[in-house]
Amino acid sequence: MVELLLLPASIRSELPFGYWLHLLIFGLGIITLLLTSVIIFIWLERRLVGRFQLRHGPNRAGPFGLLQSVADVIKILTKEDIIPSRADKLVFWMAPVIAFTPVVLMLGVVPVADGALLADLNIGILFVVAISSVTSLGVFMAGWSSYNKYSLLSAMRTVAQLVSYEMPLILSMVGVVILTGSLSLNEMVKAQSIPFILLQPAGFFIFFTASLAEINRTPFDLLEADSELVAGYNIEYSGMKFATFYLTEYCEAIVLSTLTATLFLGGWQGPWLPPMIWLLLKIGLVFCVIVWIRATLPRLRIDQVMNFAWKFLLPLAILNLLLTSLSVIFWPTAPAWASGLINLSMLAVFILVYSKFFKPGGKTVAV
Amino acid sequence: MPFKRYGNGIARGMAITLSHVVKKPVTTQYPDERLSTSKRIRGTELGWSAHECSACLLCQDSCPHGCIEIKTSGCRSETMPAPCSSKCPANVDAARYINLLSQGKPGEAVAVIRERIPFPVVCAYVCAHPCEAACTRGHLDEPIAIRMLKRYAVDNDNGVWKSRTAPAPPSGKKVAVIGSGPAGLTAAYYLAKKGGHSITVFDDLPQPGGMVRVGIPDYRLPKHLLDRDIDEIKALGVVFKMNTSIDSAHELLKQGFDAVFVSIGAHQSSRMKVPGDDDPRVLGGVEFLRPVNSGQKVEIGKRVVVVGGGNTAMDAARTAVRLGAKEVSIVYRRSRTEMPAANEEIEDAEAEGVKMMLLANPSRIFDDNGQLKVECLKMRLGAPDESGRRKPEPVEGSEFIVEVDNVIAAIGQKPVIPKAFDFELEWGNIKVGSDMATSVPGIFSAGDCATGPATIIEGIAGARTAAESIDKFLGGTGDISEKLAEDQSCPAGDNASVTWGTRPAFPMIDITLRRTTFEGAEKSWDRDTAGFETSRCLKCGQFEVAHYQLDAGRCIFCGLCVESCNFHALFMGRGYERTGYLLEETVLQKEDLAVDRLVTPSAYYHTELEEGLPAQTLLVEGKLKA
Amino acid sequence: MAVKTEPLFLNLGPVHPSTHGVFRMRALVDGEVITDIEPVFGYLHRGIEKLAESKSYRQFLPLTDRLDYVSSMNNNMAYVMAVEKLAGIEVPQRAEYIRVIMAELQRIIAHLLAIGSFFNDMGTFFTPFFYMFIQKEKITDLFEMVCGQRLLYNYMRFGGVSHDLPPEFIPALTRFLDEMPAEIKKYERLLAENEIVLARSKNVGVLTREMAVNASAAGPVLRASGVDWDIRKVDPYSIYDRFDFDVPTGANGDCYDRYRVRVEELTQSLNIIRQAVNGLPKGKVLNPVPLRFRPPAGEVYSHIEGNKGELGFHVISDGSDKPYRIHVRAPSFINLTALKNMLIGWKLADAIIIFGSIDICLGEVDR
Repeated sequence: MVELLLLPASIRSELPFGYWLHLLIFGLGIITLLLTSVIIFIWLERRLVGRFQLRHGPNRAGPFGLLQSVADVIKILTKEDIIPSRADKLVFWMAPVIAFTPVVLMLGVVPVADGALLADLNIGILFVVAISSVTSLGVFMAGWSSYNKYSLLSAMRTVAQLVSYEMPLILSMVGVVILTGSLSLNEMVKAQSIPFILLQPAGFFIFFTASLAEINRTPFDLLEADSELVAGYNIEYSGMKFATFYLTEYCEAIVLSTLTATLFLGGWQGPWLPPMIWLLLKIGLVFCVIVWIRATLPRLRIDQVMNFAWKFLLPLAILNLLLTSLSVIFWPTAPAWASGLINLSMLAVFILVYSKFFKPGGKTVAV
Repeated sequence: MPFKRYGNGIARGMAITLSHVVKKPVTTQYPDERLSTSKRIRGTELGWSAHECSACLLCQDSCPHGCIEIKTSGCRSETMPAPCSSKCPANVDAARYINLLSQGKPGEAVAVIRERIPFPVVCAYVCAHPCEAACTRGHLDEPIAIRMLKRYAVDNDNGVWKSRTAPAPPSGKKVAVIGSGPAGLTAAYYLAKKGGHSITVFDDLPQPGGMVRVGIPDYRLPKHLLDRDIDEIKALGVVFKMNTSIDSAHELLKQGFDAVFVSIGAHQSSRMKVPGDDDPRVLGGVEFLRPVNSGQKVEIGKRVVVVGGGNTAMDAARTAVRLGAKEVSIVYRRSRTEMPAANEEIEDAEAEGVKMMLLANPSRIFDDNGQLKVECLKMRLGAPDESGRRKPEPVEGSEFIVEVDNVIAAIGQKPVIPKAFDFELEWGNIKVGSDMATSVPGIFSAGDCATGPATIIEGIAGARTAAESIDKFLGGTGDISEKLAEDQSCPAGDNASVTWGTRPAFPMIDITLRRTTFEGAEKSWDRDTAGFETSRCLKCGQFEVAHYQLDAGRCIFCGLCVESCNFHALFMGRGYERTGYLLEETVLQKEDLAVDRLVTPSAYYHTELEEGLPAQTLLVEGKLKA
Repeated sequence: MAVKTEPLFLNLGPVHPSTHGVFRMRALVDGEVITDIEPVFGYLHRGIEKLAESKSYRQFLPLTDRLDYVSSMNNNMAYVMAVEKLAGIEVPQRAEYIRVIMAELQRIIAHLLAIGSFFNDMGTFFTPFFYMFIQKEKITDLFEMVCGQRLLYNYMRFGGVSHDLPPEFIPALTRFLDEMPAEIKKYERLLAENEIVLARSKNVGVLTREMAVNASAAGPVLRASGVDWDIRKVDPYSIYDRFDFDVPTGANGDCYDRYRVRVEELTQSLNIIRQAVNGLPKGKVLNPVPLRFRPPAGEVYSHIEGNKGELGFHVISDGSDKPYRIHVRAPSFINLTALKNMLIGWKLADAIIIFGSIDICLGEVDR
C-alpha cells in the first residue's frame, strides 16, 4: 500500500484501472492519514502544552495517555445532538460540512514524495488558496445560523480576520512562486535544494503569521476567544457537529503545517529517510511551533489584529514581493546566502522601523 | 530609545516557556510525600469515641451548622470523673453534690463534701475553687459557681452526714500535730476519726484555725463559721494545746508521740527588697492582717499602698478600706489579666474603692520630712517567659512618686521553720516526699510550710495524703476514705434540660456596710437561684450517650467541635486526601466520610490520633474571660 | 449609503468563563464597542451577614472563610480583630507574628491568582496561570501544615490562632521564601515586557486618581492609580508597624499598572514574611476564650489591608452571645463601583481584561 502510494503517478496510471486506482488509494490515504493524525496531533498538543506549563498532560488513558483522544471521540459521538429552536436549521446543519470539506481537499495537491500526490495540478497553489477560503464560509454560516450573540460576534470577527489575512498569505506565497517559476506544489518542492525558509525568511515569517490567523490560532484566536466569546462560533454545537468543527480546526492546523513544510521547509526532501517521513517530521515540527506559540502568547484585540494585517503584514509582503522580483530579474545568479541575507535584513529593518510606531493600548471610542 | 518594542518581549517569553519543556513536570505530592511532610491537624475524616465522650454538648454548641445531634439515655455505666472533681486537689466530687443540690438535698450535698474534706464551711466561703477553672461550662460561657453552690449547701445543712459515720476504735497510738491550720486539723480529723489515734494539736496562737483564722478577714469568713468546722474536730476528742510554742519536733517524739505532723504554715511576709523597706510604716501583708483578725485594734493611715496582686494583697487592701483608709491603691507590676488573685476578689476590691495601679513596681521608699513616699517605676510587658506569662520590664526614666501613710507589702509569704526542727529544706520549705514524709522518720509535713504559700484546699489535700501515710506508719490501713452519701443517682431528664443562661450574680451586702464594717460581704443564694445555677451544669460524664450523629451532609469540617471537646472524644484525621487518591478507599459520598467511620475508624487512624492530635494545646486551663 | 444599525444587547454572565464567578454584565455593544453596561450581582448571595445574627461569635468564624474564598486567612484576621477589639481580648505575641505570616502568604496566593487569571482573560492559554498555581500550591501546602485545610482555613481564633506552627513549618517556609524571588523574576520575563501584553493592557481601562478616590476604591486598584494608601501603613494594625516594607504605586491607573502593583506587592509580602520569621517569638499562641463569650454592648469597626483592598468588619454587640449585626466592607464590591466608568467606550475584549484587572471575588461581592 505504502509502496503504491510512493510510486510515480505515471507508472501507476499504466496499471489496469490505473486512474481510478490512483484516486482511490490517494483519496483513502489522505482521509485516513488526516483523521488518524488529527487524533495523534490532539494528543501531541495536549501533552506538549502540558509540558510547557510544567504539567504532565493527559497520561491516564492508554500508554502515555495516547488513548485520551479516542476516549474523547467516543464521548463526543455519544453526546446528544442539540439544535437551538430558533436556529436556521438547514444552514446550521450544513455549516460543519462546508467547513470541513475544503480542508481535506487541500491535501490533494500536496506531494508526499516526488510526484506522489492525488492531483498534480499545474495551478496547485492557486487551488489551495481558492479552496482554503471556503472554510471561513462554513464558520460564518455556523456563527450566523446558531442564533446566538456570541457566535454572531465570532462570525463577524472571522470574516474580517480571514479576509484581511488572505492578502499577506497569498502575497508571501507569490514570492515562492517567483523563485520556483511554477504553481505546482510538486515543482516547488523539487526546486527547494535549499529550503526556501533560508532564501525567503521574510516570506516565511509572513506566511506563518498569516496562516496562524487563517487557522485561528493564538495570538489570533479571536473567533473562539474563550475568555470573551465563551466558545465563539461553535457555542451552540454539540455531538458530531461539534466534533466536525473540532476536526476542522485541527485538520486546518495540520494542512497549514503541511503547506508551510512544503513551501518553505523543503517538503518531502531530505537525506537518509524516506520522503514521506521527512514530510511528517516537518509537519510535526511546524505544529510544535504552533503549540509553543499557543502556550506563550496572549490574544490580540480585533482592531490590533486588523492593524497588524493591513499596516504591518501587507506592506511587508508587498515589499518582499518587490524585492524578490527585483532580485530574480536583475541578479538571477545571486548566491543563496546573499539573497537570504538581503531578505532577512529587509525583515529586520522593517520590524525596527515599525517598532517606532508601536503604541501600547488603544483608545476609547467616544460613546 | 527609538527601537524598544521589536518583539524582544515576545521572544523572551517564548524562551521561558521553551525552557520549561525539559523541566520535570510538577505534580501535587500525593500521597506518600504528603503523609510524610506534615500531620494533618484537620482533615475531612471525623472520629468520635464513645468511651471518652462525656455528653457535655460543647461540640453541639460549637457547630456553626447545627449538624451534631447527641441524645442520651440514662446514667453512664462506667464512671467518668467530671473535670471539676478531678481537678480538685482533694477530689471533692463537685459534680455529684451539684446533682444532689439540683434534687433539693443540701444535707446530702454536704455529706458528699464531707467525704473528702473536714472543712466544708470554710471551703464554701473562701475556697480558691480550681474546680471552677476546670469546669466544662467555663469553656462554653461562664463556669458553674461551684463554691457558691457549696455555700448554699452548708448554709442549709441539716447535718444528715453525722448519722452515717462513726469514729474508729482507739488504736492506742499518739500523734502530735504542730500547727492548727487547715492542713493540721485535717490530718488530726482523719487520724482521730479513721485511724483511732489520739491526737494532740499544738499551736502558739490562742485559737485554732491557723492562717484561716488570722489571715482571712471576717468579711469573707465570719469566725463563728470556722468554729463550726473546728467543733466537729473537737468532738472527736482531739486535744488542743494552744499558746504552746514547739521548738523541736524531735522533742515531741521523745515525749512519747508515735508520729509528728508538722504544718506550721507560712506566716512571714516576704520583704520587697527595695531601699527603705525597713521603715516602720511599711508593713507585711500577713503581719498587718493578723492583729486585725485577732480582734485587736489596728490604726492605719489615710493613704495606703498595697504592693502585690495576690489574694493576700486583696485582703489587705479591703481590710485597710474597712479600717478607715480613705485612699487604698494596689500596685502590681503586670497587667490585670496576670494577677494571681481570684477574679471576683479583684472585682470586689474595685467595687469597694480600691484603686489599681497596674504595670508599676516600687523602686524606693523614703521619708521626706516625715512624709512617707514611694517611688515607683512604670513597667511594660516584654516577651513571654518559660511559664508563658509576659515578663515585666522596667521603663527607663518613668519614675513617679506616690505620697502614702502606710505601705503594705503583700508580695508573698514564707514559712519560718525553727532551726531545731533540723529538716532538709527545699526553696525555704520543708522537703517532703510524695507521701509527705520529711527527712526525719516519723515526722510528716504538709500545708504551706511544705509547699510554700498555697490554697486551703491544697493544704487539705496534702494533709489527707499525710494522714494516710501516718496511719500506715503507725500500723493502720492508711484508708481514710468515707462514704457518707448515696451514690450518684441518675440525673433527671436528659442533657437537653441544661439551661442556657448566664451565671446569676453573687448577692452582696450594701456597699457602705462593706466599706465600713467587717460583716460578711457576700450573701447566700436563695433556693431558686441555686436551683437555676445547678440547672446550668452540663453534667459531663454522667449520661450514657445513646445516639451521636454527625450530619456529614452539612458538615463543613471546620474543626470547631474538635477544638471545643475537652475530653478528646472527637478527632479529625487526615483521611481525605488519601481516600481521594487510593481507589479502594475512595469515598463517593461525603456522608461516608463521617458516618461510616464514626464508630470504627480505619486502621491507620488511631496511631495518628495518639501521636498528634490530643496533644494540641487548645483551651487549656487559665482564666476564662466571660 | 447609510446603513441602519442598532445596538446589540449582550449578556455577559452569570455563567461566563471570565466573570470570575457568577457576576453578570448587561452590556450594550455597538459592534465590538461597549456603549453601556449594567452590572448585576447577587447570584451568589448567601446572606452571610444575616446568618451571623443567629450564630455565636465563634460559630460565625468558619463563614468568614467563605466571603472571599481565596483570602480566607485575611477574612479570618479581619473578623477576629474586630471581635477582639470589641471584647478587649489580648493576643499573644507569637500569635500576632503567625497571623502576619499567614496574612502575607495569603496575599501572595491571592495576587498570584489575580495575575494568573488576568492573563487568562487576556488569552494566554493557562501558562502563567499554571506557573503561578504551582507556587500557590506550595503556600497551600504550608497552610495545610498549620491548619489542615487547603482552601477554607478557619485558622484564627479570638485571642490567637488555633494551633501552633508544626516544627517542619519554618524550614518549609524558608525554602519557599528562597525560591520565590526567582519565580517572580520568571513571571516578569515571561510577561512583563511582552508586546502583546503591553498592547492589550497599557493605557487600557484607565482609572484616574480622582475617579479611584471618588469611587472609594482600595487596595491594588487604588494604588495603581497613584494613591499611596495602604492600611498597613496608614493605620498599622496587628504588628505591621514593626516591619519595613514599601507600598508600590502605579502611575497611570491602567490595567498594566494594576498588574504591576500586584507583582511588586509579591516582593513586599515576601519581605514582610522574612522579617516576621526572623522575629518570631516563643510562647503560647492562644488566650482561650469561651465558646459563647459575651462581649460588652457596643460597636466597633476594624479594618485590615485585604488582598483586594480595605477589608473591614463592623460588629455591633448588644451584650449577648450573638452579634446584633455584622457588616462586611467588602473591597471587591466597592472596587466594582468604578467598573462602569472604566468600561464604556472600550471593546468587548478590553472589557474582559479590565474587569479581570479589578480582581473581584463574587463570594465577597454578594456575601
